[in-house]
Amino acid sequence: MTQHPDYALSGRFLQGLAAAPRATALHLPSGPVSYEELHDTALRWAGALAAGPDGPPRVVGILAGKTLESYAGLLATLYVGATAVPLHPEFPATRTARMLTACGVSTLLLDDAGLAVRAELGDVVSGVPVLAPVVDPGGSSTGLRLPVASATPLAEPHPAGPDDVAYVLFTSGSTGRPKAVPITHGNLRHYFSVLDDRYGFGPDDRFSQSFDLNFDCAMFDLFCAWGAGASMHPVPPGAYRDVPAFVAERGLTVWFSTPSAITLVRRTGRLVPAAMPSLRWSFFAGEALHAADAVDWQTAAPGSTLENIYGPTELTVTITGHRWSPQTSPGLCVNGLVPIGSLHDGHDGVLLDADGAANEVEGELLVTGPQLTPGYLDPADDEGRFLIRDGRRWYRTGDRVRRLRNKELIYLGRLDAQVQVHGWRVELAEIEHALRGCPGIEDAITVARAGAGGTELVVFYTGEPTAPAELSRQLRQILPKGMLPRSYRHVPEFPLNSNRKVDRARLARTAAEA
Amino acid sequence: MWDQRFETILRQHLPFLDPEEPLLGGTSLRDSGLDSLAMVELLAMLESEYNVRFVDEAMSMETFATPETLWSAINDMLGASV
Repeated sequence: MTQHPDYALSGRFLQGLAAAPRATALHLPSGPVSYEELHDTALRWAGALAAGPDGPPRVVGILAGKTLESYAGLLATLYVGATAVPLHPEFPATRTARMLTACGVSTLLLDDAGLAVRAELGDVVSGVPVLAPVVDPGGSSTGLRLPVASATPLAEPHPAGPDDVAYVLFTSGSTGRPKAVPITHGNLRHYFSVLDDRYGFGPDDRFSQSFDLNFDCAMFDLFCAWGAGASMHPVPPGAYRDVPAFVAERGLTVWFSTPSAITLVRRTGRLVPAAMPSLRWSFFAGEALHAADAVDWQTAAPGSTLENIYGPTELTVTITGHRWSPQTSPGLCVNGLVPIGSLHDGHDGVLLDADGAANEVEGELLVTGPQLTPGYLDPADDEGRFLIRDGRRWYRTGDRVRRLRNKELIYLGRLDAQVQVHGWRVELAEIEHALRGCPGIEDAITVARAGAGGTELVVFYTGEPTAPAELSRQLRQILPKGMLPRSYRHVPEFPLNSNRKVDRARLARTAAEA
Repeated sequence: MWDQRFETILRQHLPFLDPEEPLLGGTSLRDSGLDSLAMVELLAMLESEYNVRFVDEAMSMETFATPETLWSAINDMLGASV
């Protein structure tokens, strides 16, 4: 047995492998995959990656759905010592192409959905070697399709240093250009050591895997489960019509999703007392968690400890947590929202008021500590997002929070025009920018409202009245489906406030009243 | 052609389709406002209305592309169950 590399994220999988080699690491719709099988697959694919025309790749773009290619591909990428860039096959090709360029992807790892998208990516990927290990294991002689069948498996996973980048994910940017966030093995090592202490997951745990792989909460699922020798269960789309049945069928002990899943379970009539008795843990992140939803979920999963966890991608998945108590938590809620809790050990937070002065009670949350990204891949994006204070580098979350009497934090809202829709960070300016590019549209303002299924976007626009379906079709070319507005309204002109600026607040009230 | 129950259930999940507008066989459901959340709800309603069960492979964007593709998937299941 080799010594586990000190900082490598893949070391967590090796931990699970050592603890439970024959146990299920991943339960796909096609069936279970054991730790040994997944390890061998990842070593073979890593060998194929390393045998590429330019030697081992530096950055691997994994364009795949919730298939074996995503999970074993991520491991193979880490094993070969490269940076993983998980990408979503349902994102518009133009957006994916920009992401590939931004992080200098040197090899693509694809499933069948990814292969279909590759054809639309154009010049960006010409000359980029492709590994499609399941669809096309034989590769091709031209050298651009890497063979996995004839490749020599990697002897052992490569080590990684604390500053090596494990993955790059993208967040929404105000200019319409996604920002690339690198997260290091050092960031992740701290993150998972906090989680290990906090939760103590074991080999008998069975994790849901609801998040897409390009959403960093998926890293929680994968590496908490694997670090413990537990199994992880990607949730197929059909399972959402009866979530408790899926939880029961798999005997899940850990559920983690955005709060919109609670709405969904309620709307399908399954959010009833003790519907999910097997759950030990319930986690929600990605959007504000409503107290009423927490109460109902807790009743449906009475044996589980429920936590609201919070964090921007820049601070490595999540940076705070509030453990729900049916007795004390309701009294801590503000505006019907559950507290986000306290910062992870090793981190400091400060609340800044509008003048940039530290405030004891309320303000923009700034955080520094070992989970902080070294900075955006493009240093130009760092402008205004990081602050040097007391000789330390802080990340400005852009979130307004309040410090409660018990010192925990509670989320109040955004400082800027950014919202979260089903967990996706959305810059309203990005949507408005895209809409102004539609024929006949003069100007557009997007506002958020609380809908039955979570946050929804409503667009007001001037110019020619256009069928909503037409606008939606236009936006779908440039925006991921999670960002698509729920309603479009034509107005002859925008209302103005006393400063003669577009009165966004009034439009937001109009949208909320409908 | 589909029955009235199908049309009524489907229209409830298409916020961008005006009640006056006809539902055509080739109307894009996604462009008419069917998002992933609504898709799950629609699925659950159709399954209980027609007493069928969509297999995972049928839960694709292709099946839910248009009224025609969706109705034909239901018909296939109804045909298979007799």
